[in-house]
Amino acid sequence: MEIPCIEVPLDYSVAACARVGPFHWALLRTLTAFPPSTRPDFAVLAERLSFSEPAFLEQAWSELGSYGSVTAADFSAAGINANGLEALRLGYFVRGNVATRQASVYLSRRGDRCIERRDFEVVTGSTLKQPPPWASRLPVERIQEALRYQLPDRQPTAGERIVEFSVRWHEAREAVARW
Amino acid sequence: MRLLINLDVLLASPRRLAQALSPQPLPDKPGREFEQRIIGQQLVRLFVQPRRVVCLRRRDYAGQKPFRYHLRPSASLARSADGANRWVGLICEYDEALRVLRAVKWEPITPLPLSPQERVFQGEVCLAGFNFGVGYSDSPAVAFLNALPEEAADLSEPLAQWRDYLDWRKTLAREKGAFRYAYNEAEVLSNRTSIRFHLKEPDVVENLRQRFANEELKVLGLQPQTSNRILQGGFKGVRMEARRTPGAMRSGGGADRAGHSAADSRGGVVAVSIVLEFDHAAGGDLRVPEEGFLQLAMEGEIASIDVQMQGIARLGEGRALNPRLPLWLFDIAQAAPVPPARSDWQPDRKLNPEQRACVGRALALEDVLLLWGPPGTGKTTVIAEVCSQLVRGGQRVLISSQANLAVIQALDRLPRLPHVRPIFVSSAKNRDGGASQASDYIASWLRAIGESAGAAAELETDAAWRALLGDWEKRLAATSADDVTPTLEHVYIKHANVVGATCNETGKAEFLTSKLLNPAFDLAIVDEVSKATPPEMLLPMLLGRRVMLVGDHRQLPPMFRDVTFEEARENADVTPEAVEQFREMVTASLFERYFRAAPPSVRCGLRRQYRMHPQIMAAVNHFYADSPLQAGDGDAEYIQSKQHGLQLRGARGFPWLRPTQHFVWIDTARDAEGLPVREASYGTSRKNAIEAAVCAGIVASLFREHRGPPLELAVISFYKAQVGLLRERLREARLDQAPGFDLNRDVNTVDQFQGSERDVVIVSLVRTGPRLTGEFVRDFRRINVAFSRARKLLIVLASRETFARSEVEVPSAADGAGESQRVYAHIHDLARAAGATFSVAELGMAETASAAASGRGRS
Repeated sequence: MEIPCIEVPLDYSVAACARVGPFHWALLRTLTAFPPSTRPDFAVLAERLSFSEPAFLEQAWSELGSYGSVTAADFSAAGINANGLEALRLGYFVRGNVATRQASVYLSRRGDRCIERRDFEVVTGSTLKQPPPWASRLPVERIQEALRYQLPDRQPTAGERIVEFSVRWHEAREAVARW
Repeated sequence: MRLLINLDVLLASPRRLAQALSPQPLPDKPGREFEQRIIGQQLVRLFVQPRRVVCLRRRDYAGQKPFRYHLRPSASLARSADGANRWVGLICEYDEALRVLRAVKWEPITPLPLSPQERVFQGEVCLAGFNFGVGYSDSPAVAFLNALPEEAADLSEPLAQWRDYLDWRKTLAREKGAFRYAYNEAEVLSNRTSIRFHLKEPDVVENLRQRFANEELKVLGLQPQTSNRILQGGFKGVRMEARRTPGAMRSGGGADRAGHSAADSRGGVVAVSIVLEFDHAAGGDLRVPEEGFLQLAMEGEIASIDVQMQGIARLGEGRALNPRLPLWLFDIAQAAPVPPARSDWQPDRKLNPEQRACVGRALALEDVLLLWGPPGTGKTTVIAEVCSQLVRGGQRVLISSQANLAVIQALDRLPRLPHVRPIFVSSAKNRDGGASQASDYIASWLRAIGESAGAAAELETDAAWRALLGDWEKRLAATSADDVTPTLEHVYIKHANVVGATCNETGKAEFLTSKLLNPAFDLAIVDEVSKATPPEMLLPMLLGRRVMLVGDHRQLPPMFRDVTFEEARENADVTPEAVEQFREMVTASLFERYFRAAPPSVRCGLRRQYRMHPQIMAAVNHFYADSPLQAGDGDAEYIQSKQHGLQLRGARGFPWLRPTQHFVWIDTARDAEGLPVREASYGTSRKNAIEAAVCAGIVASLFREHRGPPLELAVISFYKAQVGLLRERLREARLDQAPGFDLNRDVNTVDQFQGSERDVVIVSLVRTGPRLTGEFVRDFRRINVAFSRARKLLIVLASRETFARSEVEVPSAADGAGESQRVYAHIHDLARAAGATFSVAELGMAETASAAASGRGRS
């Protein structure tokens, strides 16, 4: 079987990450919504957010401190920092050192799927004259999926995520995957 | 005052008492008269001559009388001339009719000062037959006895009985675990859930089939040091496969379908292999030694018994959270009366007036409340509401039951509200009906918070809060499994306010010493309490400041493994003596005794059922004659919800099952060709090939006829062998592929099916012949459970002539006195009056005739 594809060389960064849980989210969102002067305490916040038990917020707050997402240890006086804002946007916290790696993955010509195999031969052709139309819309999930199928030993391990990636489009080539 | 004491019981076996009292060693063979004379002389010295006797009245939970009277000589009594301490006390029961204290036991004592509960009788003490002839205690003496203060019960005797029972169970478990079955070849089959073992001794097959049913199994290699417990999993079933020994002639059959090993045409025994199917195996690894032994894994059962033993010890050490528990555990009349029902609460769901009354009383109770809930009356609804109301006020509730299923069902019925944080705790592997994981409960709770926040956002007037609540709702609506992190799970479990666990789980060390779960609860609810033995029930009761016991003693009593103790006796798994010795423990529930003896304020009941169509309920009402069940709220909506809409046509095209019929009796006395049907014995169980074939035909027709969402259907029988045959026939008819129909779950024994319900239930009663023998099929509780599982349609397959003649003993609720009734005949009459009784021939199932014929041949 032969499938036309594109060899996509990329640089990507991997780091240990933690998901922004619902109670982390509630605290970060409250920091952005209420200045210290009008900010409710944990008991009031838990009551207003319908779950009543402040222990969930206390635990989440201690984790936010360890993730370096807030400016102070005291909730009533703290603010959200750049890490915190980034976590709110991305949905996860970057917790460890960032490691940069390189790899080439094989995606369909339309960029909508990867070659879902591990063992296949590749016949490469010429480099692309220009990046494909979908180059700017390539989602990180597609890269993760391609690494999982094609290069499982290069994929992020449990607890890690690809936090950044860039494709060297000038090196990308047309190819045919065969098995 | 004159107090008369009768010594007949003690004098019947005088040796040891005489030895205890005699100033001189007794001769080798003193003779009974001599011993009695010694006893008389010494008791006159101790009790009669001083004209002073110390008396104590102690409540008795183990005997027939409510009190026992402990009599001892006064401490001021001079020691005997030789200085030896030969004092004894007498333990007596008061015979009201004869006005005499009857000494039933004696005990060696030492002289002690008067305790606060003791009083001194000063007057004439008469020992009948010694210093006194025929007579009775005078009125002042009787008044003295009645005025004695009441001392709390001595728990040692009833608890010793519980310990004896557990010791007996442990011995049985050890014996069962001691059997080993040798195999000399093993192969894992391609389905990866089964292993074929070739047995060294084919003769043990039948024995093995019975011993292994529903058991955990382990496989041991020949070399103990290399092969301990290589495989341990839930055993699902045995299939016999004939294997020819070298040189044996092919006989065309091998092992028969009943699983007996077969002989070839030359009479040589064909070797037998068995295939064991596992629900799951540890880690999916089915590797076993090529040669070794099969053995029952009894460690779990023995550990459970130890847990119950420890519970008894904790009670004895005063470690019950409710300090009054020891007082009312053996005498429910001692429980604090439940104050008037609380009304300062709003239900979280629709409750009928009797459910509401029960919840109100549960919220007010101080020691214990007994809730009697017949099938479908909403016990679980009441439990859920009680939990919701209590945790709203910051309290914590334990929901416990003898089996996982009841606990999970109760937890699943809890309202999904933000203040309710349920958790199911189980140290067992997830194999009993798919016990939910903590993450499921947490995710569900988060979604409930989101829904509540959404409602709050709509009412919020402050813009910042409204935006935050709206975003919070959206965030929680997108909750995924990834949101449940270990730390969140940790905090959730720590703050879980409705904890569910089996009775045994609540007695385990890991539960009691958990750093996450505080094992102290404001209310401990024990559901399906009739199925728990007293030592099992005790475990959750120890952990509650208050206790609510929920059950229906008109359903099945505690089980011995997977049958009742009476059946285990019929199967010769336990001795009649043992069942007799532990009768109170195993054949009737403690709940039943409680319910009869409890003051009215401590008990409440539900009568309005929402499960069954009124036609089905009418059959079940034979078991609730003194307080009949009522169908729903009497509205048209209820009746409409119980319509099955099914129609099946018979031999000449007439519809034998019509949508208006909800209870049907198929008379299986004769098969489709009009020939009499005979059941077959199968070890200690029984099976009926005609009923199995008829059942398969009906089930196939029902699935064919049904339109809409998957049909919820179950087939149940009293007999395990019949269940096996039914599964076989249904599998042959490819009904294992019917949508939503799981042969292992939905085709089962009545006992295993208690607690479950389906839209359509077919009951195969199996028995044939002129009369019923054995208690098994005439236990009204089993019949009640069998006939009360169906919501919309109940089909009974049974020989009318067999069942209609037999009598069933149904006790009254008031005093438990049994009354023999022709229950089956009455139930059959209900179906006949509705024009819903049919013969097998009338069903017109062609396949039934052929299948039945082959079945007849085998039987």
